[in-house]
Amino acid sequence: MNLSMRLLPRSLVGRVFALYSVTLIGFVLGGLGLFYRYQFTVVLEDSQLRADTLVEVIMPTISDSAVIGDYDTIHRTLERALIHSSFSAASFIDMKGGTVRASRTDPPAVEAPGWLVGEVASRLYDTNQTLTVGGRDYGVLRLSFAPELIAGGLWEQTRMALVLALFSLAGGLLLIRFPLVRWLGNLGRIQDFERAMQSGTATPEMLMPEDAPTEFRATFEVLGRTAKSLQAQRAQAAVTLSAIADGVFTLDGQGRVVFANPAACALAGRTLLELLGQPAAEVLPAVYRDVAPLSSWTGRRATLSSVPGRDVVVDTTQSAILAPDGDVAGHVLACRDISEQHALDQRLRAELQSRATALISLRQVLEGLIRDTTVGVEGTDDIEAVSMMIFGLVSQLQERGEQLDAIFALSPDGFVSFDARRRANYVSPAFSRLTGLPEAQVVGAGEGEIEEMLRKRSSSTATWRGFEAMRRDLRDAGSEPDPRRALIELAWPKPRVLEAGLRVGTTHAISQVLSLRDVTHESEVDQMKSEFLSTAAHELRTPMASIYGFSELMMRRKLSPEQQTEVISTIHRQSELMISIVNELLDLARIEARRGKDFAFEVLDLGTLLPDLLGEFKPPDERSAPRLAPITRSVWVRIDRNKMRQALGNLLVNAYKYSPQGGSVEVGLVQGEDETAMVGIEVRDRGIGLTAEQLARVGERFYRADASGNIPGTGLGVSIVKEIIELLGGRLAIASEPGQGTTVTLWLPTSQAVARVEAVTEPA
Amino acid sequence: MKSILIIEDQPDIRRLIRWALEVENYAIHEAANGAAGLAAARNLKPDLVLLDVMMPGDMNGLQVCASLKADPALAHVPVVLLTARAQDSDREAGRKAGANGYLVKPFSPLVLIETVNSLIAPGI
Repeated sequence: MNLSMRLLPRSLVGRVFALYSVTLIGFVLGGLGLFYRYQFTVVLEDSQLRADTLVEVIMPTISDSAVIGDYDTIHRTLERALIHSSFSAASFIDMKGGTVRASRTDPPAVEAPGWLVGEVASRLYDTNQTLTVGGRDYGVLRLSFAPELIAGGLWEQTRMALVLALFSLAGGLLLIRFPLVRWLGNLGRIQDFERAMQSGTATPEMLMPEDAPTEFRATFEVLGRTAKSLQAQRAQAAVTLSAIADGVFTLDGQGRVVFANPAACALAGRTLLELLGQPAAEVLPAVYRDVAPLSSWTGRRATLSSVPGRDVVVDTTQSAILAPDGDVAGHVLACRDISEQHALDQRLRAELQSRATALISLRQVLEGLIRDTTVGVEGTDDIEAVSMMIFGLVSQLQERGEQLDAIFALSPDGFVSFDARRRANYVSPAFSRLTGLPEAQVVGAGEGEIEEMLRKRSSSTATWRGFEAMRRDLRDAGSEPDPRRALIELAWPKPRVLEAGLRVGTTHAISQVLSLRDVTHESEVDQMKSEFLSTAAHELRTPMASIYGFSELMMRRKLSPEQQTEVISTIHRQSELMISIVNELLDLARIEARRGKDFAFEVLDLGTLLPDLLGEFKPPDERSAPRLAPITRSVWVRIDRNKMRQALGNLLVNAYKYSPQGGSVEVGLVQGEDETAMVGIEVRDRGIGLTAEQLARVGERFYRADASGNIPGTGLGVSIVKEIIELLGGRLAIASEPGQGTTVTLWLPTSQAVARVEAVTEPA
Repeated sequence: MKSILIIEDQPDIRRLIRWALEVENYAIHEAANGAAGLAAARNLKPDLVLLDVMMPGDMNGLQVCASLKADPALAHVPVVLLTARAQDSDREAGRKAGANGYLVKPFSPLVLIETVNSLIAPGI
């Protein structure tokens, strides 16, 4: 089978032609064979029949001759019979064994091959006819065939037939060849088409011959369309390849360039024509320097110096083109110009290098910074180490920042720090709280603006001198610790007195810090103190004025005895007033200074204490003793007995003083709203009473409800009572109606309540 | 006879001044507080006012003094302040209010007489 397949011609025309030839030859040979066989049989039969017939024909002559013994006639007859016959010899054998024999000696016209002669000879047998006349045998007539003659005739026919067969064979083959070549030869156009395709000049019409058979037309149409789309794809690929910036070389199986796009030509520094057929390794030696030319790789970098003017760095990728049978049909080498990227890479590398250097120095700096702390950072990874150190520093800073924030938030003093351009860069919460200037408004403002903001809020009476003046003070003060006090009196949002301090910073970030301390209370206290002093002085100077003036008058003038009496009593009275003022001032000063530390607290029953204290009190002349409402139960309070006597005494003195028209003074105990917590000692008079305005000022030092001067007093009595009662844990309440009298109540916590309060405040 | 108005809340001081000046032949008038003093001054048109600075009531001496000086009918009347306040600022406040003299308590009656005499000649 394989052998026959191998023997088959490759081309379709050859195969059809071979098939046709074989078939034709077969038929011709078959026909020839059959013809030969038929002829062979017929000739042999014919010869046999002719022999029989000849025997029949000559028999009478022979028998006549034999009877008479005319052997010559027999001989002549036999010789005649042999002429133009297919017998080689004719003989008559008589009974006695005598033989009359005639034979042919002429050679046959056509020399037949021996095998055919043999074949013929084997098929023919001599014809023997017994000569019987009148019941008596005379001998035998024998005819011997001449196989050479018969085979020669057959051979001649056969040769003729062979020649004819060969002629017809040749004619048939010639006749079939023309249409075969003409029609099947259309397939050959495909090769032309392919060549045209490769040269890019193919058109579908090339595959459209008029005389092509239908099947071919269909095939050619399909081929044409495929070719068309292939061509389009090729064109597309060609455009794409010429459009892309990457250089693309197509190499054949031997690594020779079969195609290169314009970018590739530019990279190789040659034209396409120069490149075609050149080994790629020769065109781009840099790319193939240390790699086998027929291998595949990706991402190899090479520097080409084939482009004039500059070195081009390319990133190359070579991929194998695999044929369908898995063989490598060629390679595609793609070269991407990455010179810029390469340059960038180089720059990046240099940059990274410098960064690394910077990082190392940063790390050294940080290590210097962090040495004091416990954060020990070991490790070779600079970034990690640096970030850990930065993290440590940042968390320290954060902690410090939180501490500072907390300090500033809790600090009652306000701060504003200024940067180098004297713009506020930090405002503490207290600053906003003190000045009412929101942080957002202050941060970023220059010192002039802040000065203006503060001035706008200042009272008009005392103006702040501003930053410049403060700096001047600082300079002038030199080494003195505290330069002049700078006070800012704010009228808005709340009257406040702020003491401003300015410190000049030493760092770049902080040029100066303005601190504001709320000295409102201090300045109020100062003012109150100075007012108190001047009031006290005034109060002392008033009786002194009488004493001094009257005594001088008495020295210089002649006075009548009545006048003298009056002057002396005035001096005495004013001296008494002075003494009591001095005493009460001292009392007050002592109370204030000791804040109750010298109080001798004891738990006493008001039920027994009050009658005792009232008993000790000496009412003014001609006035009835204070009346005590009966107390039926024990009310325990924790007080200092002497202070209580002083307080109650002052109230009783006032009650008598301010009821000059007389009227009883009543003392009683009242219960607070809370049954046991507070108890009140009420002192009630029927005197002149107080207006609401006066009532509001009672308790102020040196405040005198009597403006007429008729009622002597220091104006300190109620102040002292107030101080005492408050130090005893109670409070003072005054109710009064002008003309109706005044009721003063000393509210004191009862002993149980005291115990409870102490239990609460001191749980131990 | 020239008249002097004493505006002073302390009766003892009023009496001291009265006794001191009576012998100098002045007509003495008294008022016990600022408002009453101002009213009296407008009524009496005195030749001199002796004015206590610290007085109870709505008006203190400085306010009374300023009111007197603001009144065209009384602006020329000399005012002598009597005060227990002796600081510079108090004197300054008095000068601002238009006072013509300033006596600090306790004062000498003789100095008072001199002061008054220097401002107005004793009456005929």
